[in-house]
Amino acid sequence: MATKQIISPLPGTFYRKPAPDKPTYKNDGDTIAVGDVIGLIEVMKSFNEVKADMGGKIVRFIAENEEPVMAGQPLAEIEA
Amino acid sequence: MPIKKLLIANRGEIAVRIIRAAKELGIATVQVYSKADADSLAVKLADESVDIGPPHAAKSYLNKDAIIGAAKATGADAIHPGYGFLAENSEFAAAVEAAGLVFVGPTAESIRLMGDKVAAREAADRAGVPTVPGSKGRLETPEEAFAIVEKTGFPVMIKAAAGGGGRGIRIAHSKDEFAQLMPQAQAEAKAAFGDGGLYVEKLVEGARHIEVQILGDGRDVIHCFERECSLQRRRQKVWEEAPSISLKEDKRQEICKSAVALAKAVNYRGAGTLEFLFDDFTQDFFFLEMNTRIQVEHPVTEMITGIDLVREMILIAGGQPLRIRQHEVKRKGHAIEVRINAEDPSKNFMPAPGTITALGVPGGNGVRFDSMLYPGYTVPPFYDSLLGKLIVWDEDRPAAIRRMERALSELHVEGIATTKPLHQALARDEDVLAGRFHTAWLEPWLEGRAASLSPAATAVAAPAVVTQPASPPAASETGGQRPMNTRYSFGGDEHIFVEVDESMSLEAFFKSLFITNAVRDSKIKGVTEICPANASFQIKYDPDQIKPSDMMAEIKKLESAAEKAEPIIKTRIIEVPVYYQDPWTHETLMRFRERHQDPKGTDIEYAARVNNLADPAAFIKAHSGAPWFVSMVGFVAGLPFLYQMVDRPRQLQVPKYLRPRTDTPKLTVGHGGCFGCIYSVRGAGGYQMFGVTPMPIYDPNQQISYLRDFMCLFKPGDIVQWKPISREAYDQAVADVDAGRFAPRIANVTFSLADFNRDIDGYNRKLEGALNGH
Repeated sequence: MATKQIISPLPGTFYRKPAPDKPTYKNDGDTIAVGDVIGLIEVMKSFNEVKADMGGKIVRFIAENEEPVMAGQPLAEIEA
Repeated sequence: MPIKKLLIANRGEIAVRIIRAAKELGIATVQVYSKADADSLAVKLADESVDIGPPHAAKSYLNKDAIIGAAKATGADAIHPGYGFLAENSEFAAAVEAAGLVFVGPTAESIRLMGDKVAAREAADRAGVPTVPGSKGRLETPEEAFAIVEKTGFPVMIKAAAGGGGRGIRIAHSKDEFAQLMPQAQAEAKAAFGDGGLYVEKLVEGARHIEVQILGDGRDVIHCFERECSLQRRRQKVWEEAPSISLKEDKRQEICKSAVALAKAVNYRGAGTLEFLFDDFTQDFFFLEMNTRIQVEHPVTEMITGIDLVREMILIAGGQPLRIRQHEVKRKGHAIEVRINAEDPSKNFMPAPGTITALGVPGGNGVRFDSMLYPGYTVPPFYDSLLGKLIVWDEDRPAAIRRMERALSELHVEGIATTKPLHQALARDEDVLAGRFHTAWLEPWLEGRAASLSPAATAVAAPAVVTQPASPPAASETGGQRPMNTRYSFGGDEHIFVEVDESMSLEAFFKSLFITNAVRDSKIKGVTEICPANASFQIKYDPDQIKPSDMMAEIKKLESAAEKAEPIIKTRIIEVPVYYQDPWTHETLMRFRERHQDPKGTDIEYAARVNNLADPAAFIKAHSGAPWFVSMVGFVAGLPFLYQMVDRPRQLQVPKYLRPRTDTPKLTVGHGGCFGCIYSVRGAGGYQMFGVTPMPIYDPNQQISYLRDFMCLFKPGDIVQWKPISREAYDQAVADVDAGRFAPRIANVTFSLADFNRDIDGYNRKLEGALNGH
């Protein structure tokens, strides 16, 4: 099975939850469809949803919650 | 006791502002910074700096213990909180004082009191300052709320007592709507702030935002007149000025006196601002809230009164009583401030972090630019988008607006989008010129104007003062999505120079390539030389054979033909082995360290950092992970300029050295702005140095096997694929070159720009595959 990566479209802070007191959007092992929100990127105080551009199973998140990321950095590994 | 050493618990332009004020007072400065701000101007200007944690503000600039710990460790005796972050956090102010340090600002008690909207309203009522009609205190039950709105009438605002920054506000236009929204608002306030307390206020529509600057020493309070900040977008101020055009002198005195009365009633200490709504139809004013800190827009007050507010607040914190009496505060002329944000006004104010490739700062009489920018600075994505403030003063408002327009025309921030085009449009707007606006004026004005606010649309004249010209041109944020703006110029009577577009893109490069190919194919009489260069080209011709005006007409004809051509070319992909972080470029870059942005690190470490990459290994991966287009050959013979074939946000961008080197090893792999290059020969240069290739690319003697037919390896349109190699592989390749055994790996490919744009990564993998015979 081929593994692919979901890439951060923007530089900023990656969040895996919609709010600090909310559960994570997705967890390792979850099955996702195209368009599913897997996290948020905060760029200069504006929040942008990161949507899956492929369906499959999340092998693991590569970026952690609140981790600074750059555009093009892999966020999660997907088994398509 | 006077402050001897001041720690600045903030970042950005306000940190720079505070350091400047402290230095002028002979006070030593300590700048705390997050990992993302290690290269900030504040860190460079401060006497000392302390790393307080990761980029995320909660772990650095909001980390009370780390900040107080840094003050203790450096022997600072005071902390200035700036604005935002911990500036209005009463627990922080209390903790600073409990640690035996001075908090440059009011007491924790004042912050707590004025930070609670309901308590602040009650204090205003006691001091006889008018407040917006509404509930006297917090409302706990719907019955109380209904009794209030019976009196105020609609529309009303329902606000959370613990809210702020526009959060938790709802507007009800009728009793039914109110009945529906009230319980929702209560539940939401409880969830968001842990406090279901609400209050209700009449919504004053079409009002202006007027605020009064005050200074207090804990006993006495003076005002420094008002500012008007009615031009707002999403409750964020955009343009601020002083004095307000809408206040008559008696009303001005009335508002300013009530501000002083309220600040005195709470024994205010330090600099503070009381915000009011002013209805210029009824001439009513209402107290809104107090900001217990220095504000972003404080310079406009400084410009009309001559008082240095940051200096005064530091002196007051050091125990000095107010040095200025009320009758000594005079105002003169008119001042305007505009906020230069890293946002693209043509794209719904999309944030635009990135590297400043070149900077031109306005100057002249009555112009001030408070900013954190310098050429080569990378604006991190982790904090707010304020880059700086352009402030002008002149004798009256019309003159000040003209001066603002002139100063804006001198401001050049290259490499990222800014809100400059918005301010240029505002400075020319009739309603702004006439002062006809209120707090809800700007947002509808912006509707439908987006396109006219793009950086390209408002580029009026060529850069006048560019402190570090970026040549080759830096990438702008607009890819090839908009129509290109082609500019033709004559160079004497022998050359025509054509800039296909204002910024580099693959689209512009292709158009330039097609026009030059068409010129070559059309065999126009008199053409002697054709030189494509990135997003431009130059044609040399013999004016005895063709008139300059006829030559120009011929080229323009070919431009429209080139526009229709499908961007597909037959070209080559060439593998270039690179020994990254080699000893020779390392030796050279160490020799020229004082000319570099980062005197302590290496070029590749700096390049990794400004591109938000963890380390040189990650940078090498990004550098060699995608192919590069040869967009121009020249500068010195055979030197290819390379443009990375990935989408704009992923392109590596690194500014050039601050001052060029006088030496660069032969075959250095370099980078400046958005362009990579290979130095074909040893010589001077200003690009960052990442490694060397063992593969010669230029041989004037034409001895090397693959350079026998032509002395230069590259031509525009070639594609380069870097291949990281080890020292051993490098030595082997050099030996092979010497023995005449070396053959570059080259494959013929067809490149289609449309296919490439559809799937960039997939297309690049295919190109790379061609090298391996796929």
